[in-house]
This record gives sequence, C-alpha cells and structure tokens, in this order.
Amino acid sequence: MGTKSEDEPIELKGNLKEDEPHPVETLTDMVLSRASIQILILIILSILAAQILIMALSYTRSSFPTWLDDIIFNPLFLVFLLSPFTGSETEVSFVVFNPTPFVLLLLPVVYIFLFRPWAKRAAGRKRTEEMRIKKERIEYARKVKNEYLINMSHELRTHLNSIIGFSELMKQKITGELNVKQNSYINNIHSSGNTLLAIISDLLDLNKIETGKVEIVVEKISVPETITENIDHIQEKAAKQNVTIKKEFDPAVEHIETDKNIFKQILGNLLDNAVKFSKEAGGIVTVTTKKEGDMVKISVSDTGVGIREIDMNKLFTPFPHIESGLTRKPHGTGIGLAILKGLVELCGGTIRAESEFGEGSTFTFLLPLKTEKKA
Amino acid sequence: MTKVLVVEDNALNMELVCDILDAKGFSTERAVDGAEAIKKAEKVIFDLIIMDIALPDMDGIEVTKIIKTNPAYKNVPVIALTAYALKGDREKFLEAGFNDYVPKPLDVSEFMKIIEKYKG
Repeated sequence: MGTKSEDEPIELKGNLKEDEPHPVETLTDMVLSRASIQILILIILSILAAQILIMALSYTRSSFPTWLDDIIFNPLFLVFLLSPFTGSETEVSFVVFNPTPFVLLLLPVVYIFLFRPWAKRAAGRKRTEEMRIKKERIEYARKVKNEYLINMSHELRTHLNSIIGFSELMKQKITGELNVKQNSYINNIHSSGNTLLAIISDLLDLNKIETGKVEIVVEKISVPETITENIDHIQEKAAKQNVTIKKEFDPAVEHIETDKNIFKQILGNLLDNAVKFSKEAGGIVTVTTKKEGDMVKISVSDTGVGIREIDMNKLFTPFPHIESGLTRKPHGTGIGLAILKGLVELCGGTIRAESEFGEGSTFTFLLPLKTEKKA
Repeated sequence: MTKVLVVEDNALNMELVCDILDAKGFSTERAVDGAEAIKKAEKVIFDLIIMDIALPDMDGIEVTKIIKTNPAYKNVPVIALTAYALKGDREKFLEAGFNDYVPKPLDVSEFMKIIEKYKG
C-alpha cells in the first residue's frame, strides 16, 4: 500500500505566504500594462482630434480651401503640435494659443485614471490566479509531506520491529541463557530501539502541532487538583531518586478553562524532567502557582544539575544537542520541550526557562484563565 | 495444533512472528505476498491468519477480502500486523473487518497474549 504520488513534482519556489498584501500598482506598471496600448491609440486619436479642431478654427477664420493638405503636409506640423504658442499661418501676424502640447501632456494622466479601474480588475484577476496556483502548491506540499511522514514512519517501524522484537525474545531467554555481557548488550539494543520508536512518535506529534492538526478541547479544570494528580503520578519515581515534591499554591488560582490533557502533558513532562535531572543525592522539586492578571503562572523549580547558559536559547528547539552541562545522560528524545512549547502556545500561553548551572532550573508556563478555541 | 497463515513480505519480520508462534505451539505456514496467501488459503483452511498490510502486490485488506469470499473462512479470525501505526489506524483496520490489530514494532508479550486468545 505504498502511497507513491504519481503527480509531477512541482518546484516549490518563492514565497508561499497566503496573506501577502495586495501590491500597489505604480504609474510605470500601468503604462507597461496592456492598458498602455489602448492609451496610446487614444492619444493618437486625441492629437488628430485636437488638430482638426484647431484647423477648423483657422478655416473659419480665413476660409482656407486646402486645409487638409496643410495638416498633413505642413513641415511645421510637429513644431505646431509641440509649441504652446505659434504664429498663425495667415498673413495676419498675431500669436494664437495652441493648447495641443498641454493636451498631449495631460492625456496620459487622464487616460491612466480612466483605465485605472480596468487595469486594477485585470491585475486582480491575475492575482487571484496566482493565489490559486500558490494555494495548490501549498496543498500539494502538505500532501507530499504528509505521505512522506506516513511512509517514513511505516519504514522505520518495519525495521524497528525486528530490532525490538528479536532483542525482546533474547531478553525473555527463549533462545537460552545469556552471559552477563550478552545480557547487557541485548538490553542496550532493546532500549535504543525503543528510544528510536519514541523519537518517531515525537516527531510525528511535533509535526501535528506545527501543521495545526492538534485539536484542543477546552473544559473547566481545577488547577490544584490537576497538579496534585500529576504529582501523585510521579511520586514513586521521585522517591526512588530521593526527590521531594513540594506544592506552593496561590489560593487565588482555582479553576481555569483549558485543555485538560494538554495541561497534564505539559506539567507531567516538566515534573518528569525535574526529577530526571536531579542531582545524584536527590533534591527538591517545587510546583508553584500564581495568578497574574488574566493568566495563571505555573512554575516547576528543581535543585538539580541545571543548564549551562550556552544551552538556554536552544532549549525549546527540536534536538538541541545539549552536550555540556548535564552530568547525567538525558533519556529523552530531544524533542520533548519543543512539543511542550507548541502545546503551551496552542492553548494561548507562553513557556520559559531559567537556570543556574549546578544549582537547578525553573520552568514556567503561563496559561490564560480562559483558553479561546481557535476556529 | 492451531494452523496459522502468516502473510509478511519482510523476511526478518516473518522470522520473528513465526518464531514467536512456534514457541507458543502454533503450526505456521508462510506467504510472502498476497497471491501466495490466497493460493495457500485455498488449499488448506487455516485456523488463524496474521496479515501484514503493505504487501508487494496488493494490500492486506484486499487479500483478506478475497480469502473471506470462501465461506469456510467466515469465522476464521484475521489479525492485522502492520507498521501503519498512526493515530486512527487501529480503528481503520478494525472497521475494515480485522479481528485484532497489532502495531509494529510489536510488543512481544502483548502479541503473545493476543494470539493466545485464538489458540484452538
């Protein structure tokens, strides 16, 4: 069922933003557009009309019989056209005002304004067409990306099935007893296989958040109760590592309207990290709530190993590759905090981290008292 | 002995599934694509079918439909064993008529529990 696309690949170039502002047509655009041809024809017609008008005036003044010849063959025709003041052709030598050059100068402006709505409509049509093509390309890119992710996930899972499956069989000693080293190796293979599986799941989750496919269900939840549920969940693990979890709740924080599962996921992950990165000797994790305007601030502070300053700004990006600063090897996929950031923002909140290396870290997220569900 | 037809194109996955089934006391028959599965299912009526979905010639849903046209297969359970394991896939396959759905990578203990249900 390999879902290979038969469509021709479309080169995805240029800006694919849908909501670009409508470009303002400049005078140059207008003149160079198709409307300019019509403008040109109209200008020529106008020159002729102006000439006929002027000549007709001269004709009535002097009963000029061959006026047509004069218009066409007079070598001064152009000079006449372009000079605002000109001597009359007749013997009576006085200066008449020739409006033609002004008309000529004015005409393009007049026509551009006359044709502006027409040109705008044409540009609008072109724009709509471009938008349609862009939209199709975006759709196509989304489709390709989605199929790619489905296929990638399928392929990786197929091979992980062997890695995890066979190592599991060996772990279960179906093939007989293993010596200590063999046992340790097979455990490593099995655990790495499971980490890879978690990375695939996380990548797909992150992609879902990024493409807006995660739907939030807003409901009224009790903040202290939900946090306590989360703490109960991790209590056993914390105790094993000698970590005590404290609560410092602001009585003003009671109910908020948000997605309960997302809330629990965010808090659960932060608590998990706080316990995971505790010092060898154990430590204290404190969960604090505080009302801040129409937001609720929830902090998870630990007395763990802390994060080096150099690693702070890439903390919420996928695979931050934090090599320095963690005395214990992290067991996560490296995508967890990026997912959390995406989830917090989905609920209309923000998340940040502060840390002092060697002293501990504080992760704080703010959520609105009432999360608006995006349409 | 419960006769199982395992339809799977990946050789390693085939070995894994058959090893588990053998260890659990099933008798296994292998088919590497849809055509072979249909042919083998005509000759012998199996008690259980384990069906991969992404097969080289056709998909497992289609293969199952063809096998099920034989009235003898009306009540034979078919388990989908597939690497299509995204959200909603389980529902999709159960709706398509599979009796059970096992996502890859399979959890050996979980898989053993499921096949145990169908042991005759």
